[in-house]
Amino acid sequence: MANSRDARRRFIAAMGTLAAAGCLPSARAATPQRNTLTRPLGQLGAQYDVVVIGSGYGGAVMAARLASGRRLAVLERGKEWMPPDFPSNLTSTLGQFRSTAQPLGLFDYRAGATLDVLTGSGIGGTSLINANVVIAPDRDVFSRWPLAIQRAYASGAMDVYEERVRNMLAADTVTEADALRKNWLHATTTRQRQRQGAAVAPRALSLAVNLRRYPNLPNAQGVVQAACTHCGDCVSGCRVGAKNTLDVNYLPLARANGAEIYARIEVEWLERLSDGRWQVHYLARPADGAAVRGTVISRHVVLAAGALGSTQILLRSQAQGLPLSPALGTHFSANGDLLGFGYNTAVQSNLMGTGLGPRLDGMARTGPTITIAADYRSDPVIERRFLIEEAAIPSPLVDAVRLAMPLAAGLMPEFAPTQRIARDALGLRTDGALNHSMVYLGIGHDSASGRLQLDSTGQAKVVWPALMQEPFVARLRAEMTKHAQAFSGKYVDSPRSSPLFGGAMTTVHPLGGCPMGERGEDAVVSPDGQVYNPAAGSLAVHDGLWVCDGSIAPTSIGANPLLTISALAERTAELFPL
Amino acid sequence: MRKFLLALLLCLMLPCLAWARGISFSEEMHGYAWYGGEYRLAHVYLNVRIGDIDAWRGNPNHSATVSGTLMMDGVPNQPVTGTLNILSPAPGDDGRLLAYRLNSAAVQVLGVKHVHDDPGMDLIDDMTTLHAVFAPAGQALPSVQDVLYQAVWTSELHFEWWKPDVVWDFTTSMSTINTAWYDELTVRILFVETIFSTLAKVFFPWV
Repeated sequence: MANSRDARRRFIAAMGTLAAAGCLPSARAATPQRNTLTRPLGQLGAQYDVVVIGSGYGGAVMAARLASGRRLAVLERGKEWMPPDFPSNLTSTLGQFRSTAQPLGLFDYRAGATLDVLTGSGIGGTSLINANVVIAPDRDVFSRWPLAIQRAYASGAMDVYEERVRNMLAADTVTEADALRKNWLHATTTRQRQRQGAAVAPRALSLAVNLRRYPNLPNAQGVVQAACTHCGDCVSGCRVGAKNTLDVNYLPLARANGAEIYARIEVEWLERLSDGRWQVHYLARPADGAAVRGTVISRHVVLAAGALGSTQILLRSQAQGLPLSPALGTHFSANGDLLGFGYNTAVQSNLMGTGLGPRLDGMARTGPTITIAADYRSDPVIERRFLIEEAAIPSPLVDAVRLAMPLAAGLMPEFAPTQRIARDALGLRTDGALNHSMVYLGIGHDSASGRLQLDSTGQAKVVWPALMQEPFVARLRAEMTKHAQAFSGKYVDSPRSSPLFGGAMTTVHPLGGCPMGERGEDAVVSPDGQVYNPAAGSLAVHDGLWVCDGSIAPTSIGANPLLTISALAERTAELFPL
Repeated sequence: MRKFLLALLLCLMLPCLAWARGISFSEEMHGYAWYGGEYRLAHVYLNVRIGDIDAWRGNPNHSATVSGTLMMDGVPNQPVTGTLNILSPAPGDDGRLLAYRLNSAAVQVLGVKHVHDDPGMDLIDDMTTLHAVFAPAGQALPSVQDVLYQAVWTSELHFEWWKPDVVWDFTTSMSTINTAWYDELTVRILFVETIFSTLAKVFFPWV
């Protein structure tokens, strides 16, 4: 039974991934060697000053900033990845979906009734499989956040943290001279919409990708990086080592500052000891043996396991008796994410990832997964604002998407598009329908009214029955349709959202679950990131327990959230007691 | 009587002796062009003139002359002139090319149709798909090699062979130039025969 459920989950995960093609994985080249960051599990101590749970944006920043002068351990559930080890084909990609059989999988895809959530798992967290877009949200988005955060943004303090993050991530921008056709096509259709009266402008996106800065040279943290080859495989794991993932910047800094970094340790729940310290209960999965449960004690615990991970740990801890806010699990947001396709346009978009193998005849650069957005964020009403970003399809998924899309798109009566579909059916070519398509990732604002609950196996699941009726869905679909039609393409929803495949949407930006707020009655963490203790009063916090990741967002952000999460972590690190 | 017949024969042969015989045809292509920082729907209507069919047959790099109109969204219509190499050898001996070089006062175009023996039944597509670079006049253009092998082309236009009216217009547009009446058929046959024999060399090189 468990096996069939597991198989079904993997199937749904695979289908969802096809639908979310812009969110996910490709070949081997001369990738610079890297030193490992992690220690053997046997070196894990019994007691620490600080334990950071998770090595994504929040965790990596906190570890880098807090390690000096403290005994600090980072516990990461996934494994440490070296660039050449990322999946290179469909089979190896599907084999990297986390499940009970593959707990160290790179892709944590949680299929839900109305919403699937995709995040990364491994040293570096979701930075391993995201598109590394570094973009600041509109400042007035924070008008619905606690006052201290509003003031931090209004005063310019957050600008300083954001700039610090941009520097650490060595953010760079693709230009027109990079000759990326999907970028050009999206810029073109955006300008067309502008001329048609839409309040939109093309916006080049800042990317944490080593586009040209370190051509096989050490970066600021001494990690030798190759320059981007424009293969388009950012989201299946950069096999070139050109992505500025957290394992080439913040985490090496953390290690240099004394942090001990451990992979393969999945934290299950937390317990408050009578002396005020925290006992972290974990399940370790050593490479050379069976999984084993254990504990580690720490004065401070920083939860940075992501919206699902951190909320899951706190929900389990609550079930074990830890007093926590009734708001735990609430304010879950998909960040207004919507995936769509502009299928089979007249323009060759070169969106097919090429991996590290030989390029197809007629194929030029694909480029980083995401490079440009149609920016619709000038509306005075926050909820009506959104971005439509273009995306590439990573090479391991190209064949599957090539064959699946005609089924999702249906007939296109004219000769030229039909001929392109026929070409796709006959083989992998650059002049087929898929390579004349666009993947759109819409990011807008939802009501953040989803809820995270534990399922019967103790895993966090999303409950959000009315998600499809949220206004952002129709708004984004309508605008994506206009982009697709500009050059005779056909708008196609993510196949996963079709009733045939379960009718669920997909988010790659899960937020909330441990919302930040002014009081423990309606928020899980304080504006400083400390966990409220409702048993001790409205404003009382659990000494030494912190949350520092996307789970603390009380609302959608309306932009790729990594910069916001990292900047808030920089702020929290400065507020951390000496 | 003999003198009269001889004079008549000379008169009839004079055009052959005095003028090069040629052929012209018109061609329209439609697609998109990357120009001025945007993709634009693009259309070209060309009249191609092979002034000397024998020179072309003797030298596959011989250029035909081209004139016509270039139309792009958001750009005033452009009268263009230029050259067309019809089935000249591709660099690297990889098939044959139809290489278009077009110029107007504001725009220049380098476009290539590459007829080569790659996998798939795509001879017609090779003959009718133009991969091109559109640029403002005076700006450096890439080489034909780069367009062919480095995929630096940014624009694509098609002779829409699947549309009967387009094929009809193309077929009926053929006319001879400076050709004696008795050579009309010969010139047309030579044109078609040269096209097909060249294609045969590409696809059946062992024959």
